[in-house]
Formats: sequence, structure tokens, C-alpha cells
Amino acid sequence: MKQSKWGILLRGILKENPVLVLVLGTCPTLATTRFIVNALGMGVATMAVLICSNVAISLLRNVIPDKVRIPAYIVLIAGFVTIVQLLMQAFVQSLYEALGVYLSLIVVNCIILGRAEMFASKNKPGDAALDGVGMGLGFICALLAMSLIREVFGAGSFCGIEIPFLANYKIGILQQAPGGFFVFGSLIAIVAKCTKGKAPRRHSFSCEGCPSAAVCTGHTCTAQATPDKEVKPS
Amino acid sequence: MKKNPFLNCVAVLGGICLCVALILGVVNFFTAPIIRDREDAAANAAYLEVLPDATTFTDLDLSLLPAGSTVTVAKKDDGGSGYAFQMVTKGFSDGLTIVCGIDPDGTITGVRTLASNETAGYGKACEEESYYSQYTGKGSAELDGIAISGATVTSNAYRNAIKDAFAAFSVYAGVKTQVSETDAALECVPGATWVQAVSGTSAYQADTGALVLRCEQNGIVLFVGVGSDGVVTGAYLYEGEGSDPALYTGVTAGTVGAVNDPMRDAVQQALTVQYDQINHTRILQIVQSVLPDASDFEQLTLPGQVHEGGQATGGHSTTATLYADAMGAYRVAGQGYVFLIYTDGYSQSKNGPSERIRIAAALDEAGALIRSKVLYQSETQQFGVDKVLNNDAFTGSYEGKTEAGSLVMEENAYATYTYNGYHNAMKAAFAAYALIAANGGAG
Repeated sequence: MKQSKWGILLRGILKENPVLVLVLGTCPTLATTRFIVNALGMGVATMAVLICSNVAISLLRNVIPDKVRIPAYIVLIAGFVTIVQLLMQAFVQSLYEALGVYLSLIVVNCIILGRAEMFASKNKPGDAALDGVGMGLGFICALLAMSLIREVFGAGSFCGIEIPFLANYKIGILQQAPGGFFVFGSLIAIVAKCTKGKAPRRHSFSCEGCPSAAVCTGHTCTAQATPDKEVKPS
Repeated sequence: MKKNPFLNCVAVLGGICLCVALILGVVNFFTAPIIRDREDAAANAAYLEVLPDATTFTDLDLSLLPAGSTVTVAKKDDGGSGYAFQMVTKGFSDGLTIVCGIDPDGTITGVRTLASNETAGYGKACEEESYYSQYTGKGSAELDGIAISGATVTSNAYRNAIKDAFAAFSVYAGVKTQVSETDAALECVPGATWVQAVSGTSAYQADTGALVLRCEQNGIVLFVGVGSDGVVTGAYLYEGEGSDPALYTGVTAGTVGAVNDPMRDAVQQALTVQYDQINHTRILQIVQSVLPDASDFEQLTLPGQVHEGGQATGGHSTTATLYADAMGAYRVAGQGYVFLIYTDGYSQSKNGPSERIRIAAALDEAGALIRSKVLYQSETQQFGVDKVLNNDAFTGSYEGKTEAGSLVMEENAYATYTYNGYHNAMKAAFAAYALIAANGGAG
């Protein structure tokens, strides 16, 4: 189905937010949202890689044979992540050290591989780029929302600057893993409430994106088939 | 023409890899110098922290350093405020990186721990300012005693790295740095791994059985190492000038009169009167640790070597081989025998022979163990020490016996090395007695 350009861009921000609706890329979300600066850096890096890889994969979609599409995508994505790493190490070294290993982990971030599989490999470069921008912005928004709560209330600071009033009332657990999960879950719940009825949950997964597509009979699938795709016979 | 699907896959994948590699090569070409400059600046930042008055640095030639030095970077401040060194050593784990600044007078201007993989709660405390700031302002002779309690291995490695920095300093600055007495004593006995002060005297004993005597005359202080055979093993000029320590190597009490050196008389005194006195004092201390009523002893020579032990049994580390050696045998008239045993334990396995456990064992005339005492150990407090060495139920189980029997360990005590070490020591004591008894009770 044809989607408007605006539609492609905007759905990544709320209705199909990669982190809070599609629940992809939770690892870097939880790891880098302790501080706003780190979250922003991670979000921007991921968006840059997402846009570049979407465009590259879209340009090569007719060239890459189906059998080797995953290795090919990963090589491309890893290449872009390495470029981002080198540039960060050269120009923003403090952020590079703050993100540490999570910068390299962008390669296996499900958002990027997922969008490559589900969208970029089937659409034109322009649309793929817009999708990348939309999903990237959605990722950044989710990261910002989480890190705002975790840093302001968990560490009593904003972007590293101490807030004099809140410094004495820190909720320390928000800076730790349990607090992170709690904030994460709460945000998912809030977004689910806001998009109730509008989120095309059942239609956001096509059978091709599902890992068990090869053995699926359609009877036990919880993410039911979209009307415009046939259920693959086993 | 039908495309061969396999070749197509290979070609496309190979092509993508090639293109990505080329692009990465280009990006790396442009960013690598920038990254290197930043890392140099960050590294130099560390040197500026330890040598605050420095401006720019010149790198020094590392080939001038003695072999085995842990110094990996040596820099001299062009403004003359001193030297900065980086040492990479191994504490409990590899990768303990330290920077140290020394001013031209030989005083430490600052020390920082750049990186460490030490154990959290123990050696990792070396990264805290409260630890490394203790070194600031110290000279080369004042380093002993700066340690993290419970983290002997890390503390020793750290201290040795700082000593390497001083050694490097004396090479580059051409200045002889004052060493501590223990280091001076170690220099006198080649092959010794540790020296320990003999309490109540100014002398030191080494693990090889040698004694190091302190000779002082006319403002010159000379340390002289004497082996158990009475021959000088080496000498070290500790303070003052005018004496040549090399002249004394190999002399005995009888031949020292021929040496032409300002310290000759003092050394002669040391080799005759002092040596016998201090040796006697040292051994009496060992004997009295297990036989408090002993007033005198007779030194025996073991007719053979006592080397007990083998593969560790039980517990968690059955691949280790641990041994105990009898290093001294003494007879106390009317009471029995005292044996000095050095045995391998956990600390020895990590930090070398200087950390062997030293135990004195007293056996009566019939060869039954009266009691034993640990003279030196650096085992882990909550395992080797609490479960084994301070565990009277375990150590006392050997008392009254004439042989060691089989080792009985507490389940899951995690002190396999120390258990085996102590057991081997008991075996060595009984074996030493057997040798003496076979020789008719005399050495």
C-alpha cells in the first residue's frame, strides 16, 4: 500500500516507535540512557547509521541476492558504524569513551537490521531515507524521554549540570538497571495508551520479518498475518 | 545467459566487502592522525599531572635501562623540572599502568594509576588517590611500607614499579639514588629473593641462609653479605664515599686482613665477632619461637636434602605441585630438635619464592611433634590464614604424631594451596628428623 512521504516520516516517531512500540534496540536504550548527553550521542549515531544503511541497502536491493542478504546488510551496516566510530573518536572523544562498547553494538541493533529487512530492501532510496530519518527521530525521542527521567530524577542533574534543588532528592534506583526497566515499561505503557486504536500492531509485522516464517502454519502465530500477504504454507 | 546463483552471491558479497573496505581505508587515513594526536595529548596529560611544572617533553632512550625494567615510557621535561616515567607491570593481573614524576633531587612529584585490572575490593584500591598520593614527596629509600592492606601482591608490584622508575631516574640523571636498607642488603647476596631484619640487631638475614651485616666507620656505611660458610657474597656501599665494595667479595675472616680499603677494620670486626653473635641471635629467635625455654642450641647439618611434597591433593587445585624444604636443623639439649621449614603456598604460587611460608617445628627426642609456629606468611586472610594457619584444630592435629599421615581438609575451604603447603611442611619436619635419627642423633 502506498504511503505518503509524511506518513513514512511521522510513523517512526510515535505510532511505530522502534523502541516503545516495536520494542527493538532495547539494549542500547537501557545502557545509554543514564545520562542525557550519552543518550543524545547514541541516538544521533544510530540515526546516522540508520539513514546511511537504509539508503545503501535500498540502492543495492536489486543487486544483493536473497541468499546472502543478511551478510551483505551486516557488512554495510558494520562499515557505516566503523566510519561513525572513527569520526567520533577523532572529533568527539569524550562521547566516544562514554558510549564505549555500545557504539560498536549499533551494528547488531535490531532497529537497523529490522528496518533494512522490512522496508529498505523493498522500497526506493528516497523512501528508505525518510524511513531512516523517521525511525531515527523516534529512537532519539524515546532515548531522550528515558534519559530525561533517569538523569533528572535519578542523578539530580541535567546534561551533567547539577540541579540544586533535586540533588538532595535523588532516586538512586533510576540510575540502576531495575529503575531503567521500570521507566522503560512505563513509557511503553503510556505510548500504548496514546496510540490505542491507531497503532497498526497486527499489520506492522509481515510474515517475512518473522523468524519462524519457514515453519509457520499460521494457526499459532500471535502476530497475525497481514491481509495483503498470504500465509506461507509449511 | 543464466546467472550462476552461487557465483552471483560470491561476487556481490565480495564486491560489497571490497567497496566497504576501501571506504573505511580512506576514512581511517584521514582520522588516524587526529586520533593519534588526541591520544598523545591525553597520555601527556597524565605526565603533566605527575610533573606539574613541566612544559614540553623529550622522549628518552629506553635501551639504556637495565633488563627487566617495567618502564615503558621515559620523558624528560625540557624546562628542567624533572622526569616522568610510565611503568607497565603485573600485579594480580596484567596491565597495571602507572605514571610517576621525579624531580632532579630524586623526590617523587606525583604518581597516578592510569589503568589496572586488579581485583575489586582488594588491589583495585591502587586506583584511589588515597593510595597513590602516599608516594608523593618520597625519596627512593622511603618506599617500603606503602601498601594496601590485604592486597600484598598488588602493593609489592606497585612498589617495585616505582623502584624501577627510580632506577631509570638514576640512569638518565646520572645520580645515584639512595636505596632502602633492605634493598642494599639484597644487593649483597646475589640470588636471594628476600631479606628480613634480625630483630634486636642491625643485621639482615636472607633466604639463602646468608647474613648481611652493617659495617660503619668514619661516616661510611657498608653492607656486607656473608654466606653460611663464612665467605663474603657481596658488599654494597650504602652511605659515604671512598670504599670499594667489590674488594670484599670472596674474602673470609682470615683473608680480610689483606684488603686495602678504608672499611677493612670494620669488616673484619663484622666477619668475626658480629657474625657469630648475630647468627646465634637469629637462630635462637627461631628456636625460642617453638621452644620458649631453650637457652642454647646446637646447629646441625642435615645429612641429606629434605624436599617433601608433590601434586596437591583434594580441593580445587589438583594440578599444582607444592614442595617444602628443611632449611635448618638445630638440637636443643634435653628437649629435642627444631627444624626450619620453607614451604610453597598460595602466595608463593602468585608472587614467587620470596613468599614461601616459613614454619618452625619442634620435635621431641622421640620424633613426635611438640608444636609448630608460622614465622612468616602472606596467604589470603579469609582462606589460607583463617582456615589453615590460624586454625588451631587443624595445625594442632599434627601435635604428638611421629608422621604426617594423610591430609584432612575442610570441605569447600578454598584453601587447597595453604592446606597442602602446611601438610608438606609437617612431612618435611618428620623427614628431617628421620635423617637425623638415622645418623645417630647428630648432624
